[in-house]
Amino acid sequence: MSDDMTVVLAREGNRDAFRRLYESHREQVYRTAYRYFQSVQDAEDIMQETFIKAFSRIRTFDFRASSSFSAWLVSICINAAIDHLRRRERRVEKKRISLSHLPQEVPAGNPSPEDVEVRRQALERIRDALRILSPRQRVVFDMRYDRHMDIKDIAGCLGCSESNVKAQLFRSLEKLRRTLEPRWRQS
Amino acid sequence: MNCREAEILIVAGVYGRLTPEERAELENHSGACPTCAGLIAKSAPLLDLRARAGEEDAPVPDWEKSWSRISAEALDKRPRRMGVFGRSDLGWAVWVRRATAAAAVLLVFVLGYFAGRRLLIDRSDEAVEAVAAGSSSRISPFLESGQIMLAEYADNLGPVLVNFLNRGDVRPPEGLRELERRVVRDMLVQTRLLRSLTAASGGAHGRLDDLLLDLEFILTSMANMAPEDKESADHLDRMIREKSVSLRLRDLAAFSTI
Repeated sequence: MSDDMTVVLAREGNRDAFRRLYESHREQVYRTAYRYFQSVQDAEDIMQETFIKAFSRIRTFDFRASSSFSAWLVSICINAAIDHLRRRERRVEKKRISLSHLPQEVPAGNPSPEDVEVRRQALERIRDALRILSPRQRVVFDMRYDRHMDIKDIAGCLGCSESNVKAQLFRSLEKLRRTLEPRWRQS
Repeated sequence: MNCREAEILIVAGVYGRLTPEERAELENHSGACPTCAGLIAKSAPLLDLRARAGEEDAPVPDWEKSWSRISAEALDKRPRRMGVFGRSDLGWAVWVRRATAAAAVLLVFVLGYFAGRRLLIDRSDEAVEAVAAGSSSRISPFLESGQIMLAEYADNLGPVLVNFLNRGDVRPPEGLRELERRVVRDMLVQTRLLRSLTAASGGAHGRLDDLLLDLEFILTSMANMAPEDKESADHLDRMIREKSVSLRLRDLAAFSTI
């Protein structure tokens, strides 16, 4: 059965249809949330919040305005993630981050336990550095340079203009570039 | 690709991931630009590190536990029956606003109705008596001219029906209720008058007769209904909807004259 048909049934209050929608999309929503938090607990919370919001407002889902139910869900998930990040960011002090001290050789493929540790630390620094971006900038950057979404799709997903997305990206790239500059200056 | 674009791709590659095409473009550019080749070499260990670390392999959560919470919060709390306005979870403030708006519309209608009635059918009671007595000589000039447009009748009756169908749980003030009752009684008189006229024309208006009969029943019920009699109101509501009274009234008003 297609998603559209299942959505129609869910709108009528069919419990099985809700369950089917959950089973079809839970993985995608969970992975999207996990990407931003790297924590099962946070990702689960966001996933649950996303489905609760979506199911409570399923009557407002517009088949003509949204490209698909899946895209609609992801946009709810991303907005929930932005809110969650904002709440969390208020409690976290922002540090000045530079990647200059990271090792020049980060091992790849069949690494030893020491190599795994080096790589873990490098990844942690990269994730920390991403925190210099605002939650919204982080999400926009991720959508563009990790998921490779079009500017237009990002704007649609976040409910803002394309020029706003471009401005956010520009500022994000500038901030991130500054974390790399010390490394680039090293002889 | 210029150096500015190459720099953007390097930053994107460290903090995000590059597509194979982007990686190829970057390599092409570095072949021709020693400065960018230097930047790429210094960033190379970090490029695509997130992708290589397999961040997609998120630990699997407890799907069933999540479903229990989702279904409890989103489904079990869903309203079983939708209200007149399509939602039944509206706050009292919304209902009060809607009741006030409905009351304002009704008041405008009532004032317009009585003003118009004074101008046009000032002697409707006399007309009823005249029709009842089988005499046309005492019917008001408005009726005598034979130009009773059903559209006018429908214009007056439509808001009465809409107001009844959209009645909320909030009771309007007593003064307004009294006005409503007067309007309903007047519409009942007009309906009976129209029935008499169509009957006098030899039963040539089959559909109109049926509609007027339904309307007479509805208006009689409305006129005699106690304010707290919710069951009768719901029953009448169903009847109006099931018999598509508003729609039939509009259609007939648009295409018929007596």
